[in-house]
Amino acid sequence: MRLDAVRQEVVKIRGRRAMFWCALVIPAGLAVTVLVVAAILRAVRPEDYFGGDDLLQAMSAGAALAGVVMGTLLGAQAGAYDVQQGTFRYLAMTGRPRLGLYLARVPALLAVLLAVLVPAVVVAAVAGALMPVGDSVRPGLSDHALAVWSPLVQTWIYALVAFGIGALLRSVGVAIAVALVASLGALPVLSLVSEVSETAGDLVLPMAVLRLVEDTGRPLWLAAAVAVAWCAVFVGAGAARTVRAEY
Amino acid sequence: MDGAIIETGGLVKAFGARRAIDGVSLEVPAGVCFGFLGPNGAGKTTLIRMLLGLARPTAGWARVRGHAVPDEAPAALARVGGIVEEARFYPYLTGRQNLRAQAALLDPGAAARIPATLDRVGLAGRADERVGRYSMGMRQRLGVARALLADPELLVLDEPTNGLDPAGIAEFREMIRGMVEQEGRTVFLSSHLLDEVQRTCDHVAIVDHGRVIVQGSVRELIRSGETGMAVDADDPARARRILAALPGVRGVRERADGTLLALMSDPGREAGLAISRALAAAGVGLASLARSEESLEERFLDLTRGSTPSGPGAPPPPPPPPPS
Repeated sequence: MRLDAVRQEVVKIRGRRAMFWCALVIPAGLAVTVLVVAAILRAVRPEDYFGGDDLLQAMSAGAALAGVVMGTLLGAQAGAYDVQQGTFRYLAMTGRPRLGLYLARVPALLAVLLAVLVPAVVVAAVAGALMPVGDSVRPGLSDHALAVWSPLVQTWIYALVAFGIGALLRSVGVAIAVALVASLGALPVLSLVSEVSETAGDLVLPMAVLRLVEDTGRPLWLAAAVAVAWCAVFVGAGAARTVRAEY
Repeated sequence: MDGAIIETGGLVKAFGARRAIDGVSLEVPAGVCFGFLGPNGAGKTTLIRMLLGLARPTAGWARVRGHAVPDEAPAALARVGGIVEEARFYPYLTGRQNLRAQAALLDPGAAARIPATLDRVGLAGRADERVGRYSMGMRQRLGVARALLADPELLVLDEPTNGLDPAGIAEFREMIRGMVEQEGRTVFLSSHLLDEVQRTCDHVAIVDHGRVIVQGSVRELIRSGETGMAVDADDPARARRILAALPGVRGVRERADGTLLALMSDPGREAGLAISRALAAAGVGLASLARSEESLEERFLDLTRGSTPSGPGAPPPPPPPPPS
């Protein structure tokens, strides 16, 4: 995989400006919204005010939620856009292996998502450090690390799932709809399996993601393996379609 | 490269029961402009997609630059550029950014060729505008620029003059001829503009219902059609008898406009003089006398009118073995 090809994929994702700016502003906006709510609470109902590590966690959770949605949108678009637009055939007719063309988008997508989460994470870190602590504890280094890790890993994982769906469906609109339903509806519903069997629950993506961002008492290695496997299945299915399809 | 730059043998592409390409064996010499003609739905684009590794043949084989496609696509397509159906781009990126995206997949020198390529297609001044704002003609030019980025030995252009105005078409024709004559590239061009193909191409293949009906040089193809002298006389019946008796005249045909066509292989000045003298001697008035040669369009219509579609069960001709 050539670095220049990955760089060009970044340019393509970043160039879809409306989507890119939404992805940049919405996670940070949601984190700021949490901060504003905390500030209002402190002014009008100090007994309900939350600060310190609680504020950091709440802002991080807001960034994660927005990150998952925006990651799903960007991922589905990255997976489907080239084929829908008819540009993939011009990439394929260079003779470059299609698998390489497809996989070059993965690091580009992850890099863009990392970049768009930076403002949200920075706002959360600054607020967590500077806002009055209230009844909470001042966040330590591990809290800050988790505040970065949590939105990032969730965004990445659901973006990769959406990316695979996009490559499979080859239509941006349909891929976005299906990926959003999968990420926000079907997969969370599937995690109800854990109410019946904890072992079966371990194999469901949202439960694995949950374990990656907080200690639920289940094995961390298993959660990591399950998350990687889910991503591999979706990205792999998209790869198979990309390699086999005619353009 | 000497010899054939594109070769196919018994190439078949079926979509279910329908054969879009039905046993096509084609040989495109290197260093020429090769026109690929056919009515809509004849299978032109399907063949181009197979040559460019975008679709797999159902049967038969294809070689580009001496390498099998799609199996050896990286080697076959390394110095091939093309436009298939229409030039598609990222509309939100500039022309230059679009070319950079393509150059990243080509040889290391491709990015350095971008300014010269833009200049060549006349887009240097508009290269930093978003492609979404380009006219169709500008997109076609940018498509050619993208195809040239690979410094191609072979350019495959599918209906490349779509969207160009007459001046643009003339300019495009000059550019194609320059690529062939001055730079030694091979251009494989499909077009429904038969007049353009006649003016631009050296060789031609006519395809219909997925089959190549005829291929060869444009000149030979036109020569194999009806050539002769068109005669407009005041007494067509007598003129016809007189013309038929002249040496070198293979036959006389009445054309739709009421004039006569004396069929002859060499309708030159001598033949014209002979006809005018014979008619004058017989007292037949001559309104006009002109050399008549079938255009490629007429020849194309003659050839495609008689061709029959291949049924789904019709077996393709056995493919010759690929060259070793």
